[in-house]
Amino acid sequence: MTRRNSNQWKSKDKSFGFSRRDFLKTSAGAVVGATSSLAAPYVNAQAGVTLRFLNAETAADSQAVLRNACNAYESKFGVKIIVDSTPISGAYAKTMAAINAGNPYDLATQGYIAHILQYARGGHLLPMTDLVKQHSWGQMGAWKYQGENWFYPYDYNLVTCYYRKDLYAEKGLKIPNTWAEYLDNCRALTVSKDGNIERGGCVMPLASDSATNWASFGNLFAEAPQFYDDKWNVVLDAPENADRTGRFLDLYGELYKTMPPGLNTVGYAELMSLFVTGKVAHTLYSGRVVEALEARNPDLADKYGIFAAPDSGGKQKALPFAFDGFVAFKTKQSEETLKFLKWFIDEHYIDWLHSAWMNFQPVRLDIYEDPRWKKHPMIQKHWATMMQMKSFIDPDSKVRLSSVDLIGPSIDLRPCKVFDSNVMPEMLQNKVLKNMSSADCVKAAANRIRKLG
Amino acid sequence: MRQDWRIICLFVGGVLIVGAIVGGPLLYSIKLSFYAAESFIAPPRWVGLGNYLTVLEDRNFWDALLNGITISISAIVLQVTLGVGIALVLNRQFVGQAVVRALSIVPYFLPTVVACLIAQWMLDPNYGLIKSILASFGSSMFDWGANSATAKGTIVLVSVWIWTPFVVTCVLAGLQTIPVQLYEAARVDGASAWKQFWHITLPGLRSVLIVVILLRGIWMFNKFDVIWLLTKGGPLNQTETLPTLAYRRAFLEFDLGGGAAVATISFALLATIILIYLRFFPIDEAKQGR
Repeated sequence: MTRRNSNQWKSKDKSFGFSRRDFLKTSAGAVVGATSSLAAPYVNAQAGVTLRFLNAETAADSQAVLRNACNAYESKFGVKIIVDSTPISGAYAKTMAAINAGNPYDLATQGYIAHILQYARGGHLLPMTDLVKQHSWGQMGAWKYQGENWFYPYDYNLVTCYYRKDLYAEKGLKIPNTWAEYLDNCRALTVSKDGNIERGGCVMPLASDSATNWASFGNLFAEAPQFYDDKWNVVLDAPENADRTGRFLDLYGELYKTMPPGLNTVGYAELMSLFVTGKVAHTLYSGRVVEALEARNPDLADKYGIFAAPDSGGKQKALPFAFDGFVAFKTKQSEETLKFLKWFIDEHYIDWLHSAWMNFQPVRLDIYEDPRWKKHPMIQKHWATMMQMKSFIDPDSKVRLSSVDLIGPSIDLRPCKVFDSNVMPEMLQNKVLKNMSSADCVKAAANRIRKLG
Repeated sequence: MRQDWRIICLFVGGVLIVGAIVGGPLLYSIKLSFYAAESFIAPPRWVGLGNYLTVLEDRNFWDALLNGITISISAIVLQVTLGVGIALVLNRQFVGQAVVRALSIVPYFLPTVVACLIAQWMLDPNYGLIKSILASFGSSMFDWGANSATAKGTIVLVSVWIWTPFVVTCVLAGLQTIPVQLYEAARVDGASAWKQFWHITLPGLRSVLIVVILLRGIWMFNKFDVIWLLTKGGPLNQTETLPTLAYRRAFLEFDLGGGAAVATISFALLATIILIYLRFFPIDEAKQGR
């Protein structure tokens, strides 16, 4: 047993040499130390405001623009901005953790509507309606939820179809206006050798991931089946919608035969690299492809063209898309956050857009007229493509913009679940990997969506 | 008997730390499994056993369980068989033995993400090394990601590649503890190499193998990174296992309660399997028996 006398703590009759007075002194010191350290942030906070910015745009140029802007802001206003850059796949977990820890980021870039809705529903976001309404926006750019703008978009990520102009000229092909024409073009441009596809006619990803959800359904959106009715009942398997979706699956089944192998592992990187390396004649991607062509295969940078995905009958065109933009979180420093964001938009927004000159396709329409933005040499070089991309997003454009996470009657979390549950990629997989009939694929997808609620 | 307060303090401190970092999240996950919540910041709603009923009625859960068992058993059998074989070779004296032993453990040093990227690059049906090799023999590349068996096989092979060195290291250490005299006596008695392995080496490695199989079983059953990096559970959920299903439900389908229920069931299953395993293969008895 351990004994303790009035002055000393002992163990096995050996004194620790630690008197009660020592104990009291140490405890008092610890309390004072702890109190001081707890008070330190408060003291620091008095000295100057610090904002935390979660940035999911990890390209070196984009990070450099942010760094410069934040340094400039600190020099001018004495407000320090700590930029925490993380790949977009990790941004959600970080944001959640920060909110749960009671220390949310002040500002963040966001690329997925489901997360924005969750933050807004939880009361964690600052409305940006006043900031957004100062400008005119392209199609759907100023989207609202519960009557407010929660998001200041900076790019569209339109999934246009890239084609090889030189190959089209060589084979005497025309830009397709119908599915049949597109299929013919893909077949004509497919090169096989010893049973292997050496150059694919096209690539439309198949894997259960966001790349497939984002890129593969332009032709389906052009055909415009309804997924939900106005009351959020699933109607994808109602006759007219099932027919349209089934026809799209039949098209996909035929296009699949012209695609290179490994579709189940094709993600964002492969969609670009297959086109840049000449392994496919068509690919689906945003303006990032042009940046990749200029960086890695400049010869091809003069030989590409883009078009929107046609429907089966040549009446409608569509493009999938996914905005990126800024959100501001409710913190004790909300006023300073909005002040910084406004300053950034006034002073550095153009630099920011230039950091991914083709991929950051402006959502704000006035930018297309801004000489500062237009003077970028690469934007000038690819001006025709940029103007074509603008024609897709103009408010009076006939091209339908859509996305799997926006397939309902209004902006809501339900389509986001369809996106994240990979219902749509699995519909494609059922068609080409399991050889299910198109009707059964649609039925299975509709049932899955119903289960998701 | 007098107690040493320092030991008690260290013990209590250890228990508290382990409790906080292991028990805390575990209890939180179990608690979460009784609620419906779309995210960590949304208000949770009590649903009792509702999440468990939904999970158990879901075919994906049973498929994921079966996939997990298939992948785990295949990987463990290969890892242990290869690991023992390689360790036996490395246990012999030969020129450069130390270098080869050091090299044999290199895959274990690779971060999983690097190993998976290398595997993907080698197996890429368009640019991959395997494709080039097959093409030089006039053969075409198979689309490993499009087929259930090849996708599972790839996960197993990558797992074997990364973790066999762990088995090699453990078995090699175990081999050092078997007295050489036993082999000498067996040789004098005319025992063949196979009989020496069966009657001396294997019993001598029993306790090591029990622990290695136990650890590899736990790690493989809970394996998330390799599967997620290589196939994300595809094609058509054919490589989905309970950890990836739990992640998918919790973080991609915005069903935290459902994800927590899958994780809790997975934990209970694994705990039960470990208890049964240790009942049949008690580690202490194995040590004494040796």
